[in-house]
Amino acid sequence: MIRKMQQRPQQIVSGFKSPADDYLEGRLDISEMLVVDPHCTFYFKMGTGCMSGYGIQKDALLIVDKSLQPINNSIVIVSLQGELLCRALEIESDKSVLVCDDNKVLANNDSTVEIWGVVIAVCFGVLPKGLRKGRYSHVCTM
Amino acid sequence: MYVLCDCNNFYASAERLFKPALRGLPIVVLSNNDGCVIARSQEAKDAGIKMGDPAFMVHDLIKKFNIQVFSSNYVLYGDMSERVMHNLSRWFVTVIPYSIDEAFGWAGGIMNLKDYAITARTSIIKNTGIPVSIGIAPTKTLAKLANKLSKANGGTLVLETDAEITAALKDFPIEDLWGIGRQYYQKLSQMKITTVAELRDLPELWFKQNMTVQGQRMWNELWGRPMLQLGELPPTAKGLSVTRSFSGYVMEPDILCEAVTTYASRLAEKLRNEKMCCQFLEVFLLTNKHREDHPQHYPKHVHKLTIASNSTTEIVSVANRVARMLFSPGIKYRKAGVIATGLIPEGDLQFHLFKEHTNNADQVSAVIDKLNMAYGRGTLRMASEGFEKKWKLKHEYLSGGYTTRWKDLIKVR
Repeated sequence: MIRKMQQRPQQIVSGFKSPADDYLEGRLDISEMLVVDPHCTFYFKMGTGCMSGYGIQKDALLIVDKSLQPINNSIVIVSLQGELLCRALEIESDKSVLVCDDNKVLANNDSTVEIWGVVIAVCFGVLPKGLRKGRYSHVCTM
Repeated sequence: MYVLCDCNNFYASAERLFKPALRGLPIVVLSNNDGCVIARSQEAKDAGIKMGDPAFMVHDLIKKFNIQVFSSNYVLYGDMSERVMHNLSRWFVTVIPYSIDEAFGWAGGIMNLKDYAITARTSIIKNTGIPVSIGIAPTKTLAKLANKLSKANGGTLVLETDAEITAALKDFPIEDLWGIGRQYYQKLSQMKITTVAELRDLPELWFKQNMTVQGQRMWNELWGRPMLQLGELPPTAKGLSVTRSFSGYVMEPDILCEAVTTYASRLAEKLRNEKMCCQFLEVFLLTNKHREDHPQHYPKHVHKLTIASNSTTEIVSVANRVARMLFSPGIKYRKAGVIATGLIPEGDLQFHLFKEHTNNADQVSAVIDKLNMAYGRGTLRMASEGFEKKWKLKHEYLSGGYTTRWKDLIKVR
């Protein structure tokens, strides 16, 4: 769960004022790295390992921006015959192909294929089972 | 120029966005408690489902046309609405939401408005996945009318010149005009007035004599003279309420109190959101008035708080006490509600002369809000809400919180 860090209430300095006070910047926030446009961003979960070749493991969190126009080699969420899939999009001069580790599907411009959004980043938890407990139990698990 | 942007079949569109398999299939969305139809996709409209039809009555149609049924998922609709409004505000200044799926806006100083509207619409649809229509005209009434007509015009319609406006009004039926209720409609049909063009040709004097000031404003608006301002925000609420039906009948005081506790703590949360405290708390219970064979009981009671409050503990304990007092055995209750009135801003509290005021309760509420904000609503709650929630609303066909809950994310293959 990415949540805004809470600022500690301003400290009353009893001894010396911190020389760092004038240089405070606010700590790094991971959502700045992963989300460009929160109002156009959606999240999905990778349900299979069929995109491992592209570095997307099963159960990975997909960050999807709907505002982008996909180009050649984009990883996209696509609805194919009523099903949502994560695929690599290869656009050749006259046709586009949806690719995963197992197969290639020609993406005809008929109404059964529709690009839903572009995957802009993938998050994957790497904690071993033994450490997945307590407040660490849901690190990147949905 | 005023803009009216509205989402086409909003609830059905939001459901369909996350279930592309439903493309082309009729969809209906049911009200809270799965009572009646409150939204339909175009296909469901065509199948003959009417707005407000009770679910059990259209059961046959649902079977016959393979209609997809959903419980209302306001968690999802609320977030999707927020996304549409935000994207809209990137194109038009001053966007004022009018309802969950409609907003007025201001389009001033834009060259080539017709192309601009098309670009804006395309972008909003792409970014949110929700189809919208945009109408633009010199007044709010005309913008609303342009929006209605835009649906048969590729999704946008801009009425700029007098000629365009006159043409738009020519065949527009008066019953679809914003501000014409059933009464005026009947009156006007008796006068053989059926189109807005005919209505606009009536002299102003007629509106003065036959309609209220609202009617006169409407007449001016139809002639392109803005009478309704954009920026008028709705007045701050005089009262807040949480009322809901139960899934079945409630006949035990303990179960009733669980429900009332839940409503009361939600009410306290709403009050704190508005930064208001309430001086009076009203609790009411209702039986099913359609069942003439059941004994009927509609008790209500208004309690005056010693010190106006918005703390969960205080409001819940008062509501509970009142509910227990109102309850009478052997009656089948169908619905309960908690209403806060006499609202005053948090800062203007009047304390009691003889009673010490501690802010312990406020601190408890602040902790509740903070934890529920971080971990989701209902993480920390009053134990008297109970755990089984037998009375809880029916949501048999509820879809997920695809954009608000991590555990509801859709798995893609």
